[in-house]
Formats: sequence, structure tokens, C-alpha cells
Amino acid sequence: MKVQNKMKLVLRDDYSATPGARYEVEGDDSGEVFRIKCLYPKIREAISSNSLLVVDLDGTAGYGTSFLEEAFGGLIRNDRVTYEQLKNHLSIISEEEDYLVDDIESYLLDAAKSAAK
Amino acid sequence: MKYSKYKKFVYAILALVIFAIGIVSGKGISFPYFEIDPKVNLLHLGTILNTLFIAIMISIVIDDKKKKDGAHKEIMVKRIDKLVEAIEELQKNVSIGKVGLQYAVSISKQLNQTTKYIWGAIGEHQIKTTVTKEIIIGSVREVRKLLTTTPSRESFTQSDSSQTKVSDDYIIYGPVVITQLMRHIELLKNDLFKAQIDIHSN
Repeated sequence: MKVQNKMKLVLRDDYSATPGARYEVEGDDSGEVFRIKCLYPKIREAISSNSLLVVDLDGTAGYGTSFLEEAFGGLIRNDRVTYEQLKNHLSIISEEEDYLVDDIESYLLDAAKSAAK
Repeated sequence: MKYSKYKKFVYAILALVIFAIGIVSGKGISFPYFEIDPKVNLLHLGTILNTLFIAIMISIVIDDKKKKDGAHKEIMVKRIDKLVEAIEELQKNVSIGKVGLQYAVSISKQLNQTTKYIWGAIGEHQIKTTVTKEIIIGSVREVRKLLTTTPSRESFTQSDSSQTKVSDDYIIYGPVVITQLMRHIELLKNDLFKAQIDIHSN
């Protein structure tokens, strides 16, 4: 599927320069809140407008594994977005920690496998 | 002590023997003399001067390169030392079983970025080491995963006290994770020491 436009989400500017834990109850700037308030509304908009959402992870203090797993894996687990939709409408960039792109891909695949069970 | 005196005695005997051989061979063997022609062809003089110039230039250039290479190696080793210091600080925190959340994520990023910088410079200056960037980054990823993974609601069991938890902006680790973290941190340190030895000896 060919997407029409590009949308951008810069995590440092649009959410926090110091991303926190997995859940809201665990502290500020959690992956859960990022998913609910920023990522899910944007990805829903990208899917409905046939756009590509580019998420830029650079410029923050760093990411915990759980923050990213909850934010991205949670889209499939909690928000019922499919792996195929994310494959077509989501792109991750990280120059500073390039392995994060592979990590997120594995969280999406794991969440998709769990959802299929 | 005795061994040292014995060694000195052997060296003295050896020196005397070499001295005696020198005197005997000097008296017994006549070495031929050679003469230098006072008339020197200008072309030959030019060739001699040119050869001398090239020899001096080569020695200067090689010496300079050796000095520069040595300085680069020293800087690399010092940078790796700093990396090891940061890892040892992390190791101290892990041994207590409690690490600040922001510290955990920022140290993971710092280790990754510093590794990329050092190994970029190692490649740029063609310094040889069998410890590749991929090996170090792989270990850093493993440490980061253990350091910052907390269970999801689906996998969390209240009864399991060994699970990692987050409380008051601190990550609290169970004994199993502490053991795994210590092992991976030690492996990472060993790889960095190996890289330092390679850099020194190549």
C-alpha cells in the first residue's frame, strides 16, 4: 500500500525529553501515557488519512525497554491496531540508538503473536 | 639476592672474555684501509646529498607517524578507561539491587554512544583490535535490556518477589536479575579490557 503523506512525531518535543517507566502509576512521562495521549491518536489519524507516521526517537535522555514495549506493543495489545496497519503507516527513526528500531519491531511482532493466540 | 650476585659475576666474566677476543683479533687480523678520492663528480655529490636527504626525511616522517599513532592509541585506551569507570559505577548500583530509572536509561544511551564514538575513531586511525563494535554494542544492549525491563500487567504476579519493580522512580531488581546483570556487566568489562590490550600491543 502506497501512503499519501508523511506525519511526524518527535518524542522529545511532542512528549518528553526524559521518557520514564512503563505505566502511569510508576512515575512521570510513562510509555502508557505516551501511547494514549500521543502515539495512538496520531497513528489513528495516519491510518484514516492513508499517511505515514514517522516517529523520531532522538534527542531524549534515553529509553527504557519497558517504555518502548508498552508504547508500541500496547498499540496492538490494548488499542487493537493490527501489525499490518503499523507496517504500512508507522516508521521509526533513531540515529543515536539505531538498535531501538529493531527492538520496536520485535515488540510489535511479539504483541501480534500474543494477539493472534 | 644470591641469584643476583651470581648473575653479576657471570656478566663480568663474559665482558672480560669479549674484551680479550677483541684484543687478540685486533692484533692478529689486519683490516684493509680504504681511501677517499678528493675529486668528487658533481653528479655523484648530488646523488649522495639526495640519498641523505631522503634518508633523513623518511626517518622524520616515520618517527612522526609513530608518535601520532602512539598518541591516538593512548587516547583510545583512556576513553575506554572512562567507559569502564562508568560501567563500574553502574555495577556498584546494581549490586545494591536498586537503580534510579533515569540513571538506568541514560547510562544505557551513554554507553552505546561512547562505544560508537570510540570504535569509529579506532576504525578511522586503523588501530587493530579483535573486539569489534558489534561485540560491545551487543553486550551494552543485553545490559540495557536487563536493566530497564519491568514486567507488564499481563506477566506480573504479585506473589513473585523476584520480579523487577518500579517504585519512587527507582527500579528494584530481584536476585536472579542482579546475578544476570552482574555477569553481563563483567563480560562487557572483560571485552573492553581485551580491546585495551589489543590496542596497546598492535
